[in-house]
Amino acid sequence: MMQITKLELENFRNFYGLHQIEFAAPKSGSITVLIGENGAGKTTLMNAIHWVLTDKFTARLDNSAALINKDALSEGKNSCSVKLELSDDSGSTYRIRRSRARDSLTSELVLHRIKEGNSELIPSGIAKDYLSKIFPETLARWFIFDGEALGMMGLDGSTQFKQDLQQAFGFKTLSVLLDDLKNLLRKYEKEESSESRNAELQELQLLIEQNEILRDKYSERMDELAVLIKNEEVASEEYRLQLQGLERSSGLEIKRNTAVQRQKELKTKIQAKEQARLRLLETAGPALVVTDIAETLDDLFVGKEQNQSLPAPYGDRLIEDIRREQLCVCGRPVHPDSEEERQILRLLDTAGTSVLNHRISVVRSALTSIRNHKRTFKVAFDQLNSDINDLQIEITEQKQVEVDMTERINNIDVDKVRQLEQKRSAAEARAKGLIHERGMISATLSEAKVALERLGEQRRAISNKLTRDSEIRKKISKLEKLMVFVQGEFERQEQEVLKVIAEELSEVLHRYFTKHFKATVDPKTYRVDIFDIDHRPASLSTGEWMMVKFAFIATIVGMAAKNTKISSVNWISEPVVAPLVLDAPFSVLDPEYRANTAINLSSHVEQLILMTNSDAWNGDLRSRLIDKIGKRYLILSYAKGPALSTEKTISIDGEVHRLNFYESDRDESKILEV
Amino acid sequence: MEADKQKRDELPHYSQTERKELERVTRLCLGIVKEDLSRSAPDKKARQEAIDRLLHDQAP
Repeated sequence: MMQITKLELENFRNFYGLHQIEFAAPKSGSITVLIGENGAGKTTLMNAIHWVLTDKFTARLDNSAALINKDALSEGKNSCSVKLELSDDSGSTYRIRRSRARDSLTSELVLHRIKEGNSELIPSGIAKDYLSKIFPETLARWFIFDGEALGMMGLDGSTQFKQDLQQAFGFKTLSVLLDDLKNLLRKYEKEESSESRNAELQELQLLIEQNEILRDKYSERMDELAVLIKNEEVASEEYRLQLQGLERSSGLEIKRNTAVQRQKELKTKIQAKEQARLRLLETAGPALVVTDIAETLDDLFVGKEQNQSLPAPYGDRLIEDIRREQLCVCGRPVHPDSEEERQILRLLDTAGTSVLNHRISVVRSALTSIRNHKRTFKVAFDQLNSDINDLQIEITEQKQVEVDMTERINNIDVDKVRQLEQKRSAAEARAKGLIHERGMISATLSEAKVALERLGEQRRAISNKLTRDSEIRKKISKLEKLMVFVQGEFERQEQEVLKVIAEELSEVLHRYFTKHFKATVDPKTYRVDIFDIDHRPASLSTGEWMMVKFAFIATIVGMAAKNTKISSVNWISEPVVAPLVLDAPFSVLDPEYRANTAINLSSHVEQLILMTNSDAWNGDLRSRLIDKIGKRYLILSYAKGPALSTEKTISIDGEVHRLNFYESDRDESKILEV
Repeated sequence: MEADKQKRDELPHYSQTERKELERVTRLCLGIVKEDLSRSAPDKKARQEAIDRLLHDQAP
């Protein structure tokens, strides 16, 4: 089986400098776990493996055009690289290095094969094809995948889905062998016809050969078309990526227009606020003018009270005492109805304590109202000033956005964008035309094949009447016998594979689901269907489908590694076995399915490289997988500037490790073996 | 079910020895194919000749 032994990254995305990971060898604790928080670089690591093997990234990797670490770039390092070491059962080790230089949209591949101590550099012209034989790109679908993108994987029986599965099961080798045997048979049949003196046989042979020429011509064109279509599709994708890397005016113009529009809105708001401020000043003006006078008046009242210039609270009683005693405090008599008494009573009316107190209270209440008015005005006035200030700051920011966007729009290479868009459209149009041609040829090819079948039958009928003891006839018989056997084995193996998938999936459904569900696999398309106990299509929740998809992956990988639980395949062709690389696979699952899925996966595969976050790891995962862990790494996240979130830690063998750090020299990720 | 039975009946029946021998030769042939396909430049003609020789020497 194939195993990944080492991964080395240099200035690759958020990994500044050189980083190395050695993976656990199969059988000796087959799981390598990499634990990191969101954004630490789990998806980057998974994509590093994906990229070095296939020159492609998974859909979830953001901004895949920016591969070189930004700090390395600013230090003048103009490339990044990923190195992967793979080994297989034949004793060969492959060292694969893929790098990308600054301003380049393509990668450079360097491939070495090491066998028995000898290192062979595979010529660069064929390195890509060679690598695709060691690790066919389609295998990435089953062996290197992003768990969070699992939802996009359909068990839908598409042509690609079936082809990818057949590739993983080594059916291609069987198919090539069948073609080889057919070619040999044709060769012997020709020899037989030319040696025989049977005119009818010779005539049939001629017809067969003519039809074969046609069939081969069409087949060849079909193969050519497949390559041409693929090339056009790749070219179209390449142009799309290039366009993605280039700035286009449409998006920038939208941003600029938004900024301009926003400035207008802000200016209108400022005007409204300024008017409100003016109105406030107008209404509060009189109060502000009298406020100082009022304060002086209040001070005057307080002063007079303190100096007892105002009638004291006991004034009323004093007057009553004078009238009762008929004697003033100065010793002068105050007789009833006398002028003295009337004078005292006039004083009581005009300068009595209660009357004056009431007047003072009215004035003081008015003073309080003026003070409150002044305070409210101040709060409202300050608020309006602050709002106007904030709006002006935002206008400045929006103005800056407008300036930046204008500058970027002015710097756009409009011609290049237009050229690329034209090239992309042309590639798509060519691909469409080629696909149309393929459809036409496919029909003609089918007709030629049917004609050949018929002619072959006729030929066999005549040939069987000929002498059976000739050497060629014996060879033909041997070949026919073997071909029938190989074809039968091909079909048997396919049936077994589909049966195992259905049984393994049904077993997972039975073990973990609360309802009686059963899985089936369509023999023609390989589409997976789930039925309920009454054989009606089952309605599965998203979480349940995720569980089924994980079980499907586990079955495919497990079948190849001969690790299936319920039944197995008697392989005639050897399936491809590769390590399973999973990025954050459990976040898409409902919590109750996580541990079960992990157990199911780990029990099926020979080598598992698992990337997860600390929360998922600290849940059931650690306790359920602990016996199978061979290597553990932490992906540490470093950030410039002050702390933005709480410190994340993880405890490994009783030792607490931090996962995120702040106040760092640069934003980067590091790998630590624990 | 009936269709499956009919299909089974149509399949050739091999004796155990014959099956073993055919399986052995098939595996040898597959080995040749696999080896050739793993080369940087597969040689279809040489591969078919190798299979031909193998069949000449070993096929039942």
